[in-house]
Parts: sequence; structure tokens; C-alpha cells
Amino acid sequence: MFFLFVAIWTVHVKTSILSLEGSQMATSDSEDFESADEDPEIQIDHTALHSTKEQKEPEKSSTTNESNDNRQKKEPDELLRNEIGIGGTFQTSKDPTNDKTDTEASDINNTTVKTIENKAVKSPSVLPSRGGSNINGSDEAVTKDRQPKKCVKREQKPREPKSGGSARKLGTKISQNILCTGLESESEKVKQDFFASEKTCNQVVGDTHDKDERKTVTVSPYKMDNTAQEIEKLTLEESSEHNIAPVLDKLSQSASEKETDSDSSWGGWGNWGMTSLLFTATESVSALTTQVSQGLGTVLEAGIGAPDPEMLAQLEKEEELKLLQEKKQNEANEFSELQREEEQKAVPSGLFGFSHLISGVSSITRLVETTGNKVLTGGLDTLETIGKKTMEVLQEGDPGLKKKRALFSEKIVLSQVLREAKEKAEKEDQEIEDSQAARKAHFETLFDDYQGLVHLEALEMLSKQCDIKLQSILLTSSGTALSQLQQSLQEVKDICQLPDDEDTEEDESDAVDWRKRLDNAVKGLGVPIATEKLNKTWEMAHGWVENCCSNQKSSNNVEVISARDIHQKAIATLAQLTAESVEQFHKAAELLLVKDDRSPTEEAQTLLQVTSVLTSEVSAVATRFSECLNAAAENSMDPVAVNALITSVFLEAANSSSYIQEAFQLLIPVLEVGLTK
Amino acid sequence: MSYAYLFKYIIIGDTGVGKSCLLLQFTDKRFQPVHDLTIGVEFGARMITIDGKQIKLQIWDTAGQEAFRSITRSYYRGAAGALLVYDITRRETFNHLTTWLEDARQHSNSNMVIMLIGNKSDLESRREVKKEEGEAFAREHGLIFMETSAKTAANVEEAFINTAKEIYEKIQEGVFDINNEANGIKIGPQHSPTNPSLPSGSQGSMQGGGCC
Repeated sequence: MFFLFVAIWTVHVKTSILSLEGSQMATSDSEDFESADEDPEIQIDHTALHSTKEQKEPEKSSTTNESNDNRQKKEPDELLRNEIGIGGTFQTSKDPTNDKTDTEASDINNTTVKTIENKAVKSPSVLPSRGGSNINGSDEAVTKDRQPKKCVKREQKPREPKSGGSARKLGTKISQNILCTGLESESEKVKQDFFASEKTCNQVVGDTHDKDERKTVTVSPYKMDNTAQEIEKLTLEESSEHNIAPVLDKLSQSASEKETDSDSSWGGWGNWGMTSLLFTATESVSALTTQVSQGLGTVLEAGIGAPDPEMLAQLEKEEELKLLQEKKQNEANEFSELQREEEQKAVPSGLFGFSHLISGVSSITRLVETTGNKVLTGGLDTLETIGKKTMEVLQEGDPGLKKKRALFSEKIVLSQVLREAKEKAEKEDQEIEDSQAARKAHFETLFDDYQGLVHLEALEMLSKQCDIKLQSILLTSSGTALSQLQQSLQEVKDICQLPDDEDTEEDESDAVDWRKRLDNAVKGLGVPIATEKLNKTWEMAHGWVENCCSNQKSSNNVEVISARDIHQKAIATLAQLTAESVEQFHKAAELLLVKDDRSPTEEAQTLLQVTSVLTSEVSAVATRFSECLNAAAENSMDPVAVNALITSVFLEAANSSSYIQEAFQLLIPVLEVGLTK
Repeated sequence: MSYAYLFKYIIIGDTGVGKSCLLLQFTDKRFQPVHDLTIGVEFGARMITIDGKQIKLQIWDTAGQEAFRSITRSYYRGAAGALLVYDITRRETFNHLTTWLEDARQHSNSNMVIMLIGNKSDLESRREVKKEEGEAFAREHGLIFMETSAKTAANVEEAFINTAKEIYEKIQEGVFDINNEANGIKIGPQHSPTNPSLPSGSQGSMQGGGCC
């Protein structure tokens, strides 16, 4: 049965797209509901199906289901709310009070009861007696449990089982009336709901209510006197449970006669574009009824007692099924419309002149029965199958129907989207800018760019190779040769020990001085070390700092170099110097390894000197740049930030020194291998 | 520049076949007729794009001199690709290929992609090694083959990029374990992928609890 609502929902999606764009159905409230309760809904769908299938004994099951209703109240509650949220175009959206929950809860009750009743009718044993007693009994059972809902039920239930599908014309008309009235009195509904829920309805009150209703039918202000009379007649007969067929015939006849009148009187209805839809639905219902009865007839005649949905689906042709599905949806749409409105209107009852509608509805519901037991018996199963199928189709490639619902609830404002896009783009630009700026001053990145890292890696490889070679030599040698070798190795190691806290002379060594020292140191190695690169870098840095300092001192200079730029240059220079230093160590290692005559102790001393020169130069460069930054800090608006930059420069200078010293340490195995030659 | 992968290449081959010139042409797009002898190893790097991914090629240009042979061998380790270069105008450089190939196979991982390059294809008049010979050698040893000219830049880009494509395919096939740096492949610094997809609003409206 719940699949019927899925079908309803599908139709409503279409409906909404077609004609109800302006309506309130896509409010955020209902959307939130759907998505939040999505998964439970699907689960419930299945459980509901199972429970329905299990019902073979009508009397027992109906009571069971009724009690289940209370137990499972919470879940179906959500389900129904979802369904109504989607399909109930005029219902949920504008109801701000908490009473909505109550109303909906009662809706659920009605629906559930309906299901049970249908099931009851399905059974052959109950068919002749229409299962009225069952329903009354279950109704009372519920009444005990759920006092506040009782009122609603008292009004609804006795009529429910009599709903009829063949009251097509009348059905259409009345549903139109209901819908229109519903639209007009939405604001009032809130009040009515509140009123209804406040009532502590007992059975007596409920009965009186019913009677009131029947009376008000005759005082109907609409041009439906004829119909109303018929309905009144019908209701009276209904209460006495007499033969209804002729009345129904009459009723539908009069209803069709009145159709045009009612259309004109409810001219506003056309604006909603629903009329045509409902007519189509009505027409298709008739076709459907015939088809279903025929199809089921075949099944039943074939001797299959209670056809299960699977078999039915198989028996019916593929095309027929498709056709049926569409029509069922239409039918379901119509009935759900009727039902929902009916449920809603039932609460306020005769207060605003809706009572005649309710009576009318009751007569329609009765007509369901006249369409034939076959339809009811097999139709429900078919509906289940169809619903199942529909669900499958809907969910195909879209589990949880997320996309379809998202489409349904689309309400993004273009301007907002554009604004968001703009903000996003700005943010991204800012991030890119920041990362680029950070990159410019990132020592390791720059060190890599100057190929310092790869030289260090290559040097590590050489060092490792030499170490392996050395270890194998130590393993193979023995006696005095081994002890001598070990002694020499220790000697080299001792030389290569860097002083813990190097007290490098802080005196400002100029470029020429520095170059001389480096060249002298390199000479001792006996291999051609290209110091040009290092010298060039130093000269460049020196020149830049000189220029920068003079620039900063003339504070009114337009082309003043910002502290950030100085910092970037400082870090870049340090990275370059370090990379080139590492490269020279790497080259030295390679050249030493291919050299024939080696004097490792001498080499070690020379390289230690080179290391010392390089590290002191690195710190000298850092000092120069920090002086420059200090000058910039005086001009700067934010001296604190500039101080942070100065700290950063010294930090990276220390980093740089440690890289150089590390490279030197990697040379030790290279030097040691020279001892073995 | 951020990159998805870093491939380590080595360029090997006899001295004077134009290894450093190939690198210079690839990285700097220039040709230097007179080049200093390479000491040990020199480096070059360039960013390329394969399958929409930024790949940094880190090229180790080794010295071809026999003296450096022992040193350069230690650099083979951890290379994802190798360019084995010979000079089409000098038959002996072609004859030495087997030695180089053995060296390469022995000191590198077995999955290393090797591209055989017959360089100096611009000097057609002085050609000593036919293209077919190069092709046959490559086929025999399972290498990719190409004739290039560092001078005219003919096929230089292709030689480097095709090797990278081959490596990339091997990664896709799962031959290379990108997490093992001994394969010569490093995964670049990961940047969070910017998703200019649907605005989050459509997603956001789906969330949230019930009303009432």
C-alpha cells in the first residue's frame, strides 16, 4: 500500500513541474524533511510491504495491524509526513504550528486503517458483510490508545471502506472543490487544526458531529443542491446499510450533469492547471478499472486462488504493465488528493461549509466497492507490484532518490550563486598569491630549485657506496694492516670533527677577502674545484645588499624595497649559496674518487677549512641582509613583522650552515676510502 | 611548481655522444656546440604534462668518461628511466651499447624504462650507424628507439616525453610501486584538488533535521 504513495509522489513531481511552480510545495521545510528521513522511509516501505503480505487472515490481521499502527506509529508517521511533504501541495507548507504533527498523525491513522480495510475486503469471507464490524472494532481499539486523534477517526472511518473508484466524475468535481476551498482557506486551516486537536472528542461528541455534518449538507451554499441531496440520501442509506447501487448510479449521473456548472463556478481553479490533469486521471481510471478487472479475471479464472504480486507481474504483458503503471499513478494521484483533502477537511467539519464535501467523499469511497471485488482483491497486489517497480525505476542509479529530490527542491538563486562563485574565486586567488609568496621565501624549495637537494642526494649515494666499500675492505683485511688502517681512519675522523660552537671571527670580511680564503682552501685539495659560481653568487648578493641599504637610508625614495622583498632575496641568496656549496662538496667527492694519489688527512683539513669559510660566509650574508632589514624596519609601518623576518633570515642561515656541515660529514667515507688505495 | 610525480632519469652512453647537449636542449631549448666534459654527474629538471598530470623530470646527466664509470654506476640506483645514447657518426659508440646496457640493467631496478637514442641525426652525411641497426638493437633488447638531434632539437622532446609516458603507463598498470622510491618515482607534494563543482548550496539544502 505504501507503494501507492510512492506512485502518488511520482505523479506529484510531474504535477509540480507542470503547473504548480508558484505553489509552496518546494519550501525548505518540506525539503529538509525529505532528505533527513530518506533512509528510514525506504526501510519502512519494505517492512510495510512485508506486513501487508503476511496478512492472510483478515480478521486477525486487521487488529494486528491496528495495534502495529500504534507501535510503529513513529516510523510511518515520518513516512507519511514525507509523502505529504512532497505530494501535499497545499497542506504542509504554511502550517507553522505544532498541531501539524497531530493532523498528520491522524492522517496516518486514516491511511493505515484504509489499508486494513482494503485487506479485509480482499478476503472472500468478509466481502459480503463489508467488514464493517471489523473496522469499528479496530477503531475503538485505537480510540482507547489515542484519545486526541479519536475525533478525526470517528468522522472518517465509517466512510472509508465505502470509497469507490467508479465515482469518477463526482470524484473529480468534489476534489476540485476541495482543492479550491483548500487553497482559499489555508490560513484558516491552521486555526481549525488547532481547534480540532484541542477537542477531547469522545464517542458521543463524534456522533453528534457526524449528524451535524449531514444536516449542513442541505444548507450548502454552493450550486450543488442536487448532488447534496443525493449525498444526504446516500448517507442515510449508508447508515442503515442498505443496497446502494441505484443511488450510486444516480449520484454519478447527477454529478456528471453538474460538472459543467461546477467548473464555471470554480473558474479560478483553471489557473492552477489542474483541471485537465484530473480529467485525464479520471478517464484513465475507468480504462484501468476495466483492464485490471479483465487481467485479474483471467488470473482468477485460471484457478490461481490468491495471485501473488510476482505472478501477476509475470502474467501481465510488459506493455500492459507500463500502461497500468501510468494509469495507476494517475488513479493514485486522484485518490490521494481526495483522501488527503478529505482528511484535512474532516477536522474542521461543518464549520466552514465543507461538510457537504465530506459527505460526497464518503459516497465516492463507497463506489470503490462497486468496481468489483476483483479489483480490490488483486488490484492491491498489482499496486504493490507496480509500486515496487516504480520504486526500482526511480532508484535506479540514484539510491535514496537523492538526485531526483534535489532536482525537485532546486531553489538556488542565481545572484547568490554568482556571489558565491566570486567569493570563491577571490579566495582562491588570495591563496595562490599567498602560496607563491611563501614559496619565494621557502628555503627548502629554493634549495631544491638551485639543485642543492639533488647534489646532496648524489653525494649521499657516493658516501654510502664508499662506506660499503670501506666495510668490505675492513672485513677482508687483518693483522697489522687492519690496525694501521683503523688508526688512519680514526685520524681522518678526528680532523673532520667540527668544533661544537664555532667561534668564527665576526669581523666583516669583504668579498675579495672571502674569495682569497676560499681559493686558498680549495688549492689544498689538489682537484679543480670551480669556485666561480660561489663567488658570483656572493658578489651578486653583496651588490644587492649595498644597493638595498643605500636605498633604505634615503627614506623618501620612491623605489624603496619592501621588507618582504628583502627577506625573499635573503632567503634566496642563502639557498643558492648553500646549494652551490653542496654542489662543490659533491664535485670534490667525485674528483677525489677518481684521483690517483690521495692524501686523505690533507684533504680532510682542507675540506674542514672550506666548510668553515662557507658557513661563516653564510652567516655574513645573513648579517648583511638583516642589517638591510633593520633599515627597512625603521621605514616600515609594522616593525614587529620585520623583526620576524630578521629572525627568519637568521634561522635559515643556521639551516644553511647545517646543510653545508652535513655535506662535509658525507665526505668522510670518501676521504677514508682514499686511505685504502 | 607542484607536481604529481617526479621521475628520475639517467642519461648514459660513451663520452662525446651528446648526452649533456640533449639535456640542455630539453631543459633550456638551446644548443651549445662546445661543452665542458661532465664531471661525475650534472643535473637538469623540467616539468612536463602527461594525461593532465604535472610530472617533474629530474635528469641525471652522467659523465661518459671511463674514469667516472665507477662513480656513475652508483647513480643508476633509483632511476625510473634511462636514455642510452650513441652517436650515429661513430660506430664504436654503438658497439659499446651492450656494455652500457649490462651496466644499467645490473645497477638499476628491472622495471627501468630504457630509451635507445641515436644522436646527431643532423649529421646524415657522416652517418656510420644505420637507423635500422639501432631499431634492431632496440627490438632485440626490448628498448624504445629514436634518432635525435640535440642540435636541431629533432625528436629531443619526444625522446624524453615518450619515456615518461612509458613510465606513467607502467605506474597505471601497477608495475611500478610509486611508494618505493627505489623505483625512481616520487609522489609530488599533494595539493588539495580544487573542485569547481556545484555550489555547496544544493548539497546544504538537502541536509538538516525536520521542521515543526
